[in-house]
Amino acid sequence: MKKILAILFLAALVLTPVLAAVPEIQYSGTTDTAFRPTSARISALGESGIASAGRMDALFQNPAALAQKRFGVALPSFGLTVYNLQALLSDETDSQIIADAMQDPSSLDDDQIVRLAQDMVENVGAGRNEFLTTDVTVGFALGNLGLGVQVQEKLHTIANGSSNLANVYFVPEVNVGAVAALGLRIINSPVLNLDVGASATFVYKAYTQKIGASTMLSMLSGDMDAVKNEILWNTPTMAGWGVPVNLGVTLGLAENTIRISAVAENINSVYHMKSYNAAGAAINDIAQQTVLEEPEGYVAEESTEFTITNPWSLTLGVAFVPYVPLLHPVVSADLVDMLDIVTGREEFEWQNLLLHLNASVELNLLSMVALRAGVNRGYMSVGVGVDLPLLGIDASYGWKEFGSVIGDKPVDSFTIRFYVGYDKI
Amino acid sequence: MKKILYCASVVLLVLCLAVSCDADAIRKTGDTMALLGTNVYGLQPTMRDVSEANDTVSNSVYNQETGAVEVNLEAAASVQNSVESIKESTLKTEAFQKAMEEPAATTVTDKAEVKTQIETQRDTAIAAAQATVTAATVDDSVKEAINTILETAAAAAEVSEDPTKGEVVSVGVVTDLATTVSEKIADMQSADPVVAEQAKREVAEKAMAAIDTLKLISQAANIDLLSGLDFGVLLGGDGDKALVAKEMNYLAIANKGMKQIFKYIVNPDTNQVDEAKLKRYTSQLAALRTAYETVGYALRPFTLDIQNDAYGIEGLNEFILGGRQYDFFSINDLVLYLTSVIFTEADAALAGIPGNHTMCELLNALLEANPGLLEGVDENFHFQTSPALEAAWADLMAVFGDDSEDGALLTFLETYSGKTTEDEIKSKLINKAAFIANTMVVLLVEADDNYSKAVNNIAVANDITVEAAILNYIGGFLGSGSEEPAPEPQPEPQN
Repeated sequence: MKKILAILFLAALVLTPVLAAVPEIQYSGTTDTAFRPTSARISALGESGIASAGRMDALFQNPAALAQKRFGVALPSFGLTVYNLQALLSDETDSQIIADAMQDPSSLDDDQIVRLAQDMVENVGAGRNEFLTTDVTVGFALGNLGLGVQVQEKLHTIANGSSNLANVYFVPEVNVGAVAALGLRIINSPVLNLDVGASATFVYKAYTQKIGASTMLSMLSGDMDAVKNEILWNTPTMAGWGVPVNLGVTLGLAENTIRISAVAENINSVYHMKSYNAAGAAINDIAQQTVLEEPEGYVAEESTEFTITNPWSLTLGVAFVPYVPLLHPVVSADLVDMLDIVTGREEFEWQNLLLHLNASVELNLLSMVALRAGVNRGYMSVGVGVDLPLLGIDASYGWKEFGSVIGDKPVDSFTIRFYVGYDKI
Repeated sequence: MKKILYCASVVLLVLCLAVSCDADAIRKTGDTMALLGTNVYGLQPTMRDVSEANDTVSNSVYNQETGAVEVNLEAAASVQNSVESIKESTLKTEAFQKAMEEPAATTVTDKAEVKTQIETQRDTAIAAAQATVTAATVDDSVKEAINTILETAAAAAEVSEDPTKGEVVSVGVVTDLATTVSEKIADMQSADPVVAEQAKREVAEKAMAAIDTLKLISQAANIDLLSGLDFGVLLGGDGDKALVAKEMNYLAIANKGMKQIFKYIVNPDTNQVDEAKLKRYTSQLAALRTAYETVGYALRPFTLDIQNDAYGIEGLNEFILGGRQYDFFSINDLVLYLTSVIFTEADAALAGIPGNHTMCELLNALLEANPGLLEGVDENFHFQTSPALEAAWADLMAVFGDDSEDGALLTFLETYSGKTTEDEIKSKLINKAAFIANTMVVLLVEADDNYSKAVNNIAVANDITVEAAILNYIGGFLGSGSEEPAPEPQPEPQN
């Protein structure tokens, strides 16, 4: 019996690279966060505003906002978020390189580009962080109905120890989502309104095994075919789908000047995932045909199926939206991740509420220029927005906590979003 | 109000940034952005697990009812259970490291007795481990390998005159690891592959837990030797990670890495290396070395039996192709391991060289001649020598130079190895070299699958296995020294 076991074990050791299934890989920040397109406006508002819900992106925050029967269209909107910008701008050498690039982009040489990239990597610090996020969205809000399609790319970082190039790894992630939302006004009176809403998003998520920062940097100076080959055929990839659901309810008082909301987010957040030994294999499997030709010598490995289940979250919000001509102010305050407190799993202490508080102020000057400021669990954020007839731009800068405890690892981000369409309060 | 003003100025500065694109404006914007990064509530994170871990260590050194000093190394080692939660938080890590620098004798006033007790318990634990190894029914080569680990563990558990809490934890962790290794030696060699594999994994995971703890409490592990290193040029663009030797930025290593090391071992009042600090630093590195070599042996238990032509590289190809087994190590661990080898072997190696040199003395001579090393150097740095450094170099050449004295090399090898016969010297040194090489290979493979692929690609490109490549290299290296030099051609007689 022992001999048979030994033979089997030895066989397993020898044949391991060929027969073993690609293991499931999960990373914090990729699999345990709700899918939501990045909104420069919501970022500027400290991620608050479920009760104010005045724009198209509100349908991702609180689908009950659709009960207000508004019209909006984004064809498309494009957003870019850069993280850890402050450290880069404060550095003497990096700021000079950026200044030179802004004046004459062609003046940058390879050494400067690598230096900039290297510093951006080293600025991520130990533990988890983000590097870059891009969003492309096409969306409609027509009466009670909201529809949208989003493609989001996120570049996460993980640093095992200090953040030098040897310790930092990138985890590229792509999300493709299609959302359908409906909002209805149940009670409609001058004194009191009650709106309810629901949204469901079909999300297809894919992320790769972590790639060393030094490998990514060496790819910068390598030829693009080698880069493509490395990512498409040499990097294990996890891919799968889920249909998370959001439910929202808003109580409007005093002609909807005061609003109180509750949103249950990320219900049914169960992702059915599969592991592939290459991104190219994942693409071919999704398409059910050979979209990408396998290179010579490529050997497919067996996939592992697994599920990722995330808990849903509860956010409570209140907003004050008085009618002030020309200014159209909005004051919002949300208490996020309240489920543990409401169910008693987390001890209730008044000072702890501050750790759940996001609050903001927004002024919409002439319904054209918006000035925004917010607090996200104690960290400031600011932003501006310009709404022209068929074009809009929003920008925001703020900080968020990325550490395990407040004060541990604040990370800054700058987001800019352009859209072609119509989206007014 | 201040924050709102800062917010407004950020917005304005960003607008100015877009208009002016001046480097100064960009920097000012960055500095203003930083002002928004503090938490407005001024809340402090909970440090309960740090306090509990600190209390555990404090309570491990106490007075018994009789008044005798007692040190509980097992209790001190149990802080390994708290490492996971502490290391996730930068603030907790800093608070814990600060606590570990405090003296261990908080309630006990007799520091000398604390040191004695720690050393006694250490010696007892290491001796017990060695006895277990001796009694184990395994091959002599395995016993020699484990004894190598235990010897490094003994050196790692050095205690200073006023032991800190960190030293108590370090000694506790190292002795705990030594005990585990010695207890598992028989299972690791079991004929039952399931038992053997389980034992190896237990030892490897114990060693990794030790590395995590030692990195948390050691100043030695805080050095970031790879920071600032220009990886962009270090890694060639052809994808196989070939080193671009001519562009290796050694200066970057010297600049940031050495500066960090000097910070921990130099007395700021004299700008000279403090012998006690250097000893403590080396002891921390020795602890890390013990843990790295333990995990290296657990993941790849090589067999060294020169008489039977086993050089410890058998099965290297399969091991490299197998790829990494744990998502734990990075190339930083390899660099840290190499640093630990240099520091822990330095004084033993220098003892074999005439002149009674020590690492402390040489570092001080280096700093005296090149004080700029303390602050960091740039590309214009030119190394300066001195009579002391010249004398040390001459002593080194007296052993290794072309004109070295007869018997000097043998004397060095005898002193360095601590052995007297040629066979014993050879066995000792080859065992040490094999251990270091094996650990380096394991750390390289575990750091990143791509490194092991690169190593394999080099061998495949030359149409040989990794083992054959190594044997060829060693053969060539040994052969090039023993060949008779070719006679110089005589000039043609001129008519």
